[in-house]
Amino acid sequence: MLAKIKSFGLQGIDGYEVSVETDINNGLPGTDIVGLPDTATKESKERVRSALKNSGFRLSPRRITVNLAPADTKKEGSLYDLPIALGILYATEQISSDMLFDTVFVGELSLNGDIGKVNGVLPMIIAARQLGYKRMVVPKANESEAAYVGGISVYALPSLRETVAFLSGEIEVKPVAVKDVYSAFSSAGSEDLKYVKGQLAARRALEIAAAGGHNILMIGPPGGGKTMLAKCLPGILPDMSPDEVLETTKIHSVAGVLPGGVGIVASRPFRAPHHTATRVALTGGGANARPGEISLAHNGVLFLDELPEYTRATLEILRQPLEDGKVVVSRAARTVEYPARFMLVASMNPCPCGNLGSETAECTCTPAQVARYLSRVSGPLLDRIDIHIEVGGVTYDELASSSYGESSEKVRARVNEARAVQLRRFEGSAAHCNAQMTNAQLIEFCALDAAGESLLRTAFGKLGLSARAYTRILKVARTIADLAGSDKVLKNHVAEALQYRSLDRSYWQ
Amino acid sequence: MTEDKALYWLSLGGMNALRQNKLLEIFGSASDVYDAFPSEKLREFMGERAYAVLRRSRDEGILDAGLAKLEKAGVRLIFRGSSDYPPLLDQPEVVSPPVLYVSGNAGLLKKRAVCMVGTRRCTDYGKRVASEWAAELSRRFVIVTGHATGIDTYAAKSCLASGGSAVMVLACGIDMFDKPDWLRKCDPASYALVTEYPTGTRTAKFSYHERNRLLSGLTEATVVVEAGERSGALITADRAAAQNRTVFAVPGSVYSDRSRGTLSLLRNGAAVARSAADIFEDLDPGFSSALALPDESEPPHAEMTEEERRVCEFLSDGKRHFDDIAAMLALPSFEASSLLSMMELEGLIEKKMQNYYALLK
Repeated sequence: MLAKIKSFGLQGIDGYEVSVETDINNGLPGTDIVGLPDTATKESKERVRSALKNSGFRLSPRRITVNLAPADTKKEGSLYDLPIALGILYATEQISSDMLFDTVFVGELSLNGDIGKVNGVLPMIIAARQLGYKRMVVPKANESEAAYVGGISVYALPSLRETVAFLSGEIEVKPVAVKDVYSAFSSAGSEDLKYVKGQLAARRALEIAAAGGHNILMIGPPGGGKTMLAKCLPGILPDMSPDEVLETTKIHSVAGVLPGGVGIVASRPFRAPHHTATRVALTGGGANARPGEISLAHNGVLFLDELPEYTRATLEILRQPLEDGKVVVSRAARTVEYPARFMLVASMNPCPCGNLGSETAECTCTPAQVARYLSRVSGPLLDRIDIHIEVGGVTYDELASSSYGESSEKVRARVNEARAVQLRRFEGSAAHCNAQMTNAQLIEFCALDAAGESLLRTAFGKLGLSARAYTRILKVARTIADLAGSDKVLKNHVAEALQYRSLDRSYWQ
Repeated sequence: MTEDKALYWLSLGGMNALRQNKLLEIFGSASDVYDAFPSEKLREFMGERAYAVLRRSRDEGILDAGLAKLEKAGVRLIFRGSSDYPPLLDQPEVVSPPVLYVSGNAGLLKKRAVCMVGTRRCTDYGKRVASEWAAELSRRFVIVTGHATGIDTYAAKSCLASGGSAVMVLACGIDMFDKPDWLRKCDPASYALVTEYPTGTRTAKFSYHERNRLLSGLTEATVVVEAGERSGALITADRAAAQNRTVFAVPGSVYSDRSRGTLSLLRNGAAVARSAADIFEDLDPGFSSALALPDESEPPHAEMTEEERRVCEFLSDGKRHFDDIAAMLALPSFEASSLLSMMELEGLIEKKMQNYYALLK
């Protein structure tokens, strides 16, 4: 008897339907799996055989053929164990249930018949819901991921035995209760700005960066607090929308890095790949076409500490994602597109020894060494970073002072307001925030009055600013105006924006 | 074979001036060396490499072509003994080079000159001293300096910018020096590039050392603006002392490692230079510093706002951090930022590294 059980596979971060067909033929006893299975999928037959035996079912002494349709896409992973086992049970007439054919099954089987955790459950649930399925069975261990999608009854079951009992109606199982995405929101895990001592200029720059979605580069001596400031950023970024939460969770689910227990990425991700990270680790790809760090940072922060230490090739690949908000990974077997709209936060020392411009320590680098160090970060990449800020050393008095600065929560409230203004402004266009403005929008929304115009003109002559600084300053000035609740970009907004172009200053060149 | 051409030929060997002078002393003239080729004794004296080069180029055709090429590139050769040769250089203590390669205004070499040198890794303090004093000294003297970044470059830049004349002594062949942009923009009559090395010579550690004797040799006095413990400027000071020139050192902070060299010069008897006037006083008492730069102390920016005035006052005894300025003004950081930007554009203050601000001097 032919069994046709529904399951799902992953293409990028989206699920697609896979039909697991099982048939019993005459011939030498054995199991064949066809439909481009990878090694983990092929080994499924060994797990299924033991799981069936240890769950008290019979094995058929006949030839079993399993087809994973569509037969021309590669199937990866162990998630087809459960549908294959159920298919065999149906084909050998050990079970029969109406529910068997309109329910989606995913799960890995262990030899004793327990169902184990698999990756990418959330995108599969979403895809199943979209295709109109009403029921889905997932591993118990993936229960928390299932809690945030409504419109489909998801049953989280611990073993093959219980699944069969559930299908035959012997036991009653309640679907996973749907929770509100908002209930999971938290900015826990990120540092609070109130513990940042001093650094007024850098705090303000972070606030602007968060409000306008601007990429930011922090330059300062080691121990100056660059990493601490960067870690504060997720806490002041605007709240995630439910769509953003689901999208980010999908990516983390596919990569199998969801935080245990929560099952959802409830706060903006903060990814800090080490500078030895390879290109594939950043963009994603490899044999399994896994999402890379830049996709895991989607809707969050990608923090590159010690920017010049990354190889040039690694940094250059960031250019396209920074522009398009997605990364396309092409491999011989397939092409996958992962979303990658992140805020780039980078930090670097001012020179190889780190003490250039310091008040307390002498720099031991020659000008040629400094120039070489700075040149390791290419112009085109710097072009995509709107804000450069210097983070100075903190004095002992500031460290020891018991007064706290403004908390992240207060700053986030202002950021949220500024973002709301921007969302209204860019309604109907591709941009979400000031950093993504096109040239046409720049002209429309950043028009300066005469005073601002003449200020900017003077600034270019006097401060030795480069041409690429022009649009950056305007965008940042727009965000400053938004934070101030001003419709127009005024002279003092431009004046403040001038302070955030450190690398364009002539003393660096 | 003229003597000049023979001297030019001899310089191509890459032997240092000391050795060339020794040869000239033994043979009497360069043409006699030319005629003595080939000779085992010469090979022994010169060393394999110099001998091979000189033997290869010992051909009037090659030498004429080389000279024509130099002339086309605007490089003049000045031979010792000619009337254009700087008299200060023609002293035995200097170990004077038989040939100088000069591009630009060769006449500057015979004018009264002061040498300004210092470390490449200079501080703001050194930069300011080099720039201000070079401008002042250049009213009377040609400024002689090297071509390294740091003090040397600031001195030359500021001297040329204020209408003075500068001589830069190179530690490489004249064609190997890549003129920086700021120098290209200067009037070629206001500066000269000088070297004793034939075209194609690259810089080497020893060539800087050799070159330093020419820096001090071309001048009446050497001013060391800022130097670390092992700075090359100390070698120049050393040479200057050996050549009986005055050595001035600019005092710096005892805590700065870039003042160690100048401070130890002072301890060893160098003259203290507290201002350009000190140098004028020693070298040219007649040329009084009454000619000092026009007084700019007229009350500037009468239309300063109350806040701007307070910031200026706050910065009057040195640079301050952004946080301190904001705290002093009791302003939120965004208002302080924009205020400081405006003041910067008005030319009142300047931004330093790491969010420090200082009065613009």
